[in-house]
Amino acid sequence: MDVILSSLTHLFTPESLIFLLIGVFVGILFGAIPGMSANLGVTVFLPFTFTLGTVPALLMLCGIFYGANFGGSISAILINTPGTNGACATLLDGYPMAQKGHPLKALDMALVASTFGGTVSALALLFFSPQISKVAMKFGAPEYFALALFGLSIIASVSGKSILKGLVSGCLGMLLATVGIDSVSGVTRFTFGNVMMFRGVNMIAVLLGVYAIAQMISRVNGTEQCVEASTLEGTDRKKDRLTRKEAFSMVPTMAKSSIIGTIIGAIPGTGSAIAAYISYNEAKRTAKPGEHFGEGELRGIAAPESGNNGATASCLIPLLTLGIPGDAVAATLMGAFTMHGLVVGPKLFETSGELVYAIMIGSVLAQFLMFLQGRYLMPVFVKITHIPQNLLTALLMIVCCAGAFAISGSSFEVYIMLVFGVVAYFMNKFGFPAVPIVLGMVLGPIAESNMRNSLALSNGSWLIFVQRPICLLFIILTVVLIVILKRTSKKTGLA
Amino acid sequence: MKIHYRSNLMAGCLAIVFAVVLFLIIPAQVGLEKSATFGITSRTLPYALCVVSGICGIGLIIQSLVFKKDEVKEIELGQEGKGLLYMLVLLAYGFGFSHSFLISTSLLGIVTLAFQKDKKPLHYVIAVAVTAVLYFVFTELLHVRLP
Amino acid sequence: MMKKRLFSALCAGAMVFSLAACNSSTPSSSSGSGSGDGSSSQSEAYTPSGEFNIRVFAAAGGVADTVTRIAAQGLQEQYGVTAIVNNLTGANGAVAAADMDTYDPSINELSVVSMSLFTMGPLMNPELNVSLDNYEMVGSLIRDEFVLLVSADSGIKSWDDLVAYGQDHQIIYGSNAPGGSTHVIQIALFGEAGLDAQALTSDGSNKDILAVMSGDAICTAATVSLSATYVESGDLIPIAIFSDEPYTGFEGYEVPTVPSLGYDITIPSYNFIITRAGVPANEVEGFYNALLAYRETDEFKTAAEAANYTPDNTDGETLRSEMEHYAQVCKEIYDKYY
Repeated sequence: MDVILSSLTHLFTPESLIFLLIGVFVGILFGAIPGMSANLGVTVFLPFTFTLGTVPALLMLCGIFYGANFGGSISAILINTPGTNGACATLLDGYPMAQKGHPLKALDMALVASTFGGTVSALALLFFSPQISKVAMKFGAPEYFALALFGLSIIASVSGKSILKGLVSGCLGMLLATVGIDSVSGVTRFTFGNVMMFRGVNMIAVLLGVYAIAQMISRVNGTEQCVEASTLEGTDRKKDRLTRKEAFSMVPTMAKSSIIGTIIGAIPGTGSAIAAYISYNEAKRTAKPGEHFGEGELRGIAAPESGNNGATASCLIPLLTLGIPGDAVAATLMGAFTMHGLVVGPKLFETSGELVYAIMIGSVLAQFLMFLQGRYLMPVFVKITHIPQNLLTALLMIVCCAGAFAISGSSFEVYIMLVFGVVAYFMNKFGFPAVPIVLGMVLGPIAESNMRNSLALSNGSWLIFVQRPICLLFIILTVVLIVILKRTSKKTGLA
Repeated sequence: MKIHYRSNLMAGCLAIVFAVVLFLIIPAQVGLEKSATFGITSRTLPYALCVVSGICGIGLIIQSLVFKKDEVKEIELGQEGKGLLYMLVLLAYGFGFSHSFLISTSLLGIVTLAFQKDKKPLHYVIAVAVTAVLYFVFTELLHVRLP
Repeated sequence: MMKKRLFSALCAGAMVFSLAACNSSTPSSSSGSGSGDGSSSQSEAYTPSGEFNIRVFAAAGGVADTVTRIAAQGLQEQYGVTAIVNNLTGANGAVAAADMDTYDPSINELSVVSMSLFTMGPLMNPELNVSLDNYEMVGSLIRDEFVLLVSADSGIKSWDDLVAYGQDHQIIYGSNAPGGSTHVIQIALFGEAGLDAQALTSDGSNKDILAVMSGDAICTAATVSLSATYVESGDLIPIAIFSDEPYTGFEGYEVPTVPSLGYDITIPSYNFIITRAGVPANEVEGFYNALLAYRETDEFKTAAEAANYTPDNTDGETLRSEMEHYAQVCKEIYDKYY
């Protein structure tokens, strides 16, 4: 208790609060601009924090992380281009809702859900870190494989009208993830003799290509028209806000998704995208009569946003307690912690308890600051929909090209983005959905490497996947999900 | 001039082509490890994807031809030609980007507007201005080096 | 409504102002003060211009990245110019080096790479076509030794215990992908010891440590700096060090060397700075001396202590001969075990 009280003296200083506010603001901006991710934001602003005290510096960087996960939903909803890979599931219902003339309501829902998810995650970080980290430690190669398999089975759910086409898209995504050096055997795959291919295909670059560039090509040649906000003259802007009743009705969904996100985030090597998809799938699976996911359903926004923000603070749990980052951004934050004198791992709370608690409590505060900032910024962001389509298309092309380069400071990512933009354009012509590509890229490598490592553990015995309880649970869940999806597809006539 | 095509049938053919191409390039592009593999090698997943894709392709073709479950889509040749031309622009941009972000991206913005037959000079000015602002923000504020 | 907009504008303006103020006071500003701190006389002849672009082979947040950023900070203060750190991961630095190769030889274009680039890299991936002759070794950033670790819960307390365990069980060890440093040293060690061992591979030593702590792997190799916190907390036990000198830095342990156990395997972890061949020698030397000078400052010592970082002062020439030596060692291991 003394430690917690002392930590409040570090947190509630003008410097800490101001830089937390700045961090969240910067994070929202970075997340909202396609190509500029949370990781880029943290990496770019890391040198700026050297002159700050430990707590303000780390709060600023954590604020960027939290804000960016919400920010990604802004571009997903308004321009059908996810700003972060965690927002890919949000656009499934967010963009259709915006197209129907309710962009503010969609953004409101994303903000409320993000805040809810982030708060649950931050509270879990504050109160349950030791317990959750013990569960995370039980995840070995078989568990990761089973989790990835469960995630991949969601491809059927997000494939739209054709599961077969969704599977092909998923195959493409998994294939893209194999490019580079195989982490199990060390051999190269599909590098075509190009050194730059050794590092693999960057997911953000593919995301920009598949969503943004393909869309821009369609707009340029006139095969896609987006509904400009100015044409919705009849819409009463004041009524286009989320009502309290609507928000409260989403609480059960947000609660479930936040818990899913918190658990997924705490498992090292997973990340917010997996949490978002699993949460979306769960909400869709329990859809009530009259709910049409994929056509602008409020729950279709609430679930993935709570899920992906639920994975944010909790991915700091393995980082702070075990010294093992939960995802790529947490890995960057690990460097930040180190440079500010906090050695993450089992001894962190012993040596720097006050500072760590200040950051954890600050993480809870960050969610409310994000909510307040989001409320003020949303009407500004919605103005994007008022930009004439021609100009918006050109500006998006420019921003995406700059964003793709900024991923790693290399032109290679720009080429990847352009190539996959063209590929996705043609894939759209034949009805291949884009979402499974992302799922395949995220989950494919986790599934493959952990399957092979599991067989190494068991000396080639496949029984290992049913001998471990958590692994068995996920496999059962996968089978159940496939059965449910099969029944649903028979009812709706999908294939 | 419009061309009609059956979506599932064409998608099925495309999936099979993808599978065949993948099958052919795997031996050249994927090495084989020398250590114990328990039957799973670095080529297993690519071959598996090949098989899944091929099966899905055949499934789509059967859906279209046997079960008559298909959607007829149409493309307008003029529009698609314009799209192909724009892709050539993107190709040229790819070459130009590595030499100068500022010039190539400004030109891309201008050409994108021109393709959409935008007649407002202000839009062209805005596109160039945004490029310049982005260049400044990236290089001077964020210290990301652009070509 | 107007009040709301005005308030929003004021908030946004305050944030931008704060950010700009933050920017102007940070080391990476191009208008920084740059007062050299007793730079040696050799670097006075060399006046850098433009900005430094330092590519790092490791992802942001890792040890190599952290150490590079500390060095970059020092460069900015020494020369008053901007030093940009850019993470270009892949193939132990081959990707970073390839990107550097697209620029003309210049001391301003640098890469931080791993020793594996010149030792196992050419053996595992000959198509990389990487040669020591194409680069100038500028100087070392980190040299760390690998320690063999077991979980405290495993019941194993020494190398002899591990060998005894290995008589009845296959040893599952956590390591990076084949060809990576921790894979090389462990495959060699267990091979020389005649033990049946299988690698559980991952893309980072943190995950290898997690595998050991969770019980999936019985042992792993990690650098001394990474292992320290886990050994101090009692989660892991160090049972051997891949070095010529025993290690006494862990309280309560004198870690025996692998050579003393009968196996001559002493490959360290080396991360160092390279630039393209063709950069004038005085610039390379001047740059390296500036790095050394910065390491003498109190500012550096504070940052290094906070990051638990002990710099390695191996110069370029010594580095080159070390690389040639370890390349030969790795070739022998590769021919025997890969």
